[in-house]
Amino acid sequence: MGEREIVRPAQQTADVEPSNLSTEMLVRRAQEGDRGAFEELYHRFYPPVVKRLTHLLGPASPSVHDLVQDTFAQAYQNLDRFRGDGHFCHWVLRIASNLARSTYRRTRRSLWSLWDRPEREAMVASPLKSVDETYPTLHAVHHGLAKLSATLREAVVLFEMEGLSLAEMSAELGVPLHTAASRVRRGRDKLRGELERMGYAPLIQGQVALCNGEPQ
Amino acid sequence: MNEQIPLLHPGASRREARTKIPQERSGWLELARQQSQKLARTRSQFTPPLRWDRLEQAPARWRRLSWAVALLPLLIVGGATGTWAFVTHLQTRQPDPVAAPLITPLGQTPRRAVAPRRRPAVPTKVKEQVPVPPKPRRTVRPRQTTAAAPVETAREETQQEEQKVEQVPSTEPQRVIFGTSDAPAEPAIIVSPPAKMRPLWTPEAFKKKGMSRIRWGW
Repeated sequence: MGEREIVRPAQQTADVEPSNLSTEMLVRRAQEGDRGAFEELYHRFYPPVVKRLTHLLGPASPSVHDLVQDTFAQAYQNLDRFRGDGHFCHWVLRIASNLARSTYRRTRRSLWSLWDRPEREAMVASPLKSVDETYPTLHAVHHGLAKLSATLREAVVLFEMEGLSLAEMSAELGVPLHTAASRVRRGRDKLRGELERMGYAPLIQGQVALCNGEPQ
Repeated sequence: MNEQIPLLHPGASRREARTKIPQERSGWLELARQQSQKLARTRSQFTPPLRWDRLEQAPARWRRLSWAVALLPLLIVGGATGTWAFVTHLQTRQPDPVAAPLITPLGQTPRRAVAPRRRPAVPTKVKEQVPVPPKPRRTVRPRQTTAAAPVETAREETQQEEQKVEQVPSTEPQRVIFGTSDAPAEPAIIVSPPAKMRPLWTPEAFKKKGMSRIRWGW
């Protein structure tokens, strides 16, 4: 019986273009120190990470692209801790959520938030003015969301803005399904109250289409 | 490569169907959802290149931060100890003879005052506790009607009163002559401060104002 040549997966796929490899293979190659594989992972999962951060932090956060870089920096540092139990995308998205949470907490405590507060108040004050220009409704909703607790805010954002299902949300937040559902329900109620307090009367479906510039 | 990302929790869809979540959204929330999706789509259209310098600097940044966090308590403790030591040094040091005030007789060059020598510490005497004998009780005597005081006694009393009046220190500048009687020095003018400080409180003021108002001066 002759000696069998052991072919490692990384050697086997060494000559394959990273863009043609599956995510698992890319992760394995990145764990072995292949920078090209990690860059491919970055380009592949950049859009979901940007979307998650945009939904969580709102339109007033200018540093989303920096946060994406930070997210992938953390992923790169902790790549050896990724065991491959779940999908790489979910792992990166969880890092992004944690970063967004800490950034949100830091900016709320910052003294600079007192500095630009009048502009934010003015932006929120007029609900129907210049809808297409700077997303005032989104500003207002995020202003209302800021009054909610962190758990309720995150549940509402993930369910309503990002459109995750309850199952995905419960796995993302690490809570039972019913807890996630109850958080969404309570968050919605509180948000509705906050919006009404800011002068946003309940809007019917036809007005939504009108605000979006769609024909009725 | 278009890869289908699996659901995080694939078995839960049936349970989700049983969970009651009202599907109707408020209009503003629906509008915000559409705007948020539009914004996210706009932001994700362009993918900037991965910044490797940021990836490599991140651990160094954390290392620097951890050093700062470790050194911060040392700095705080060191600063507090230094302040305490300086204040203690200021409180216990000897008066500087060079910085002592000058006595300047009129028309002469100033001379430095000699630093006062500290009196050597005298061991405190422990007073023995001797039982004090009780005071003899005064016997009340009936008052005697006496004649008027002699003239000499009255004169002495008036002289004493006059002396008392003279002893009241004045706030006017005084001329004092230093030196001995054989070789008197040039006279010097001493501007004396008010001899007697105003009392902090008097019973009359206490009755009128009360303690707190006297203390805070209103």
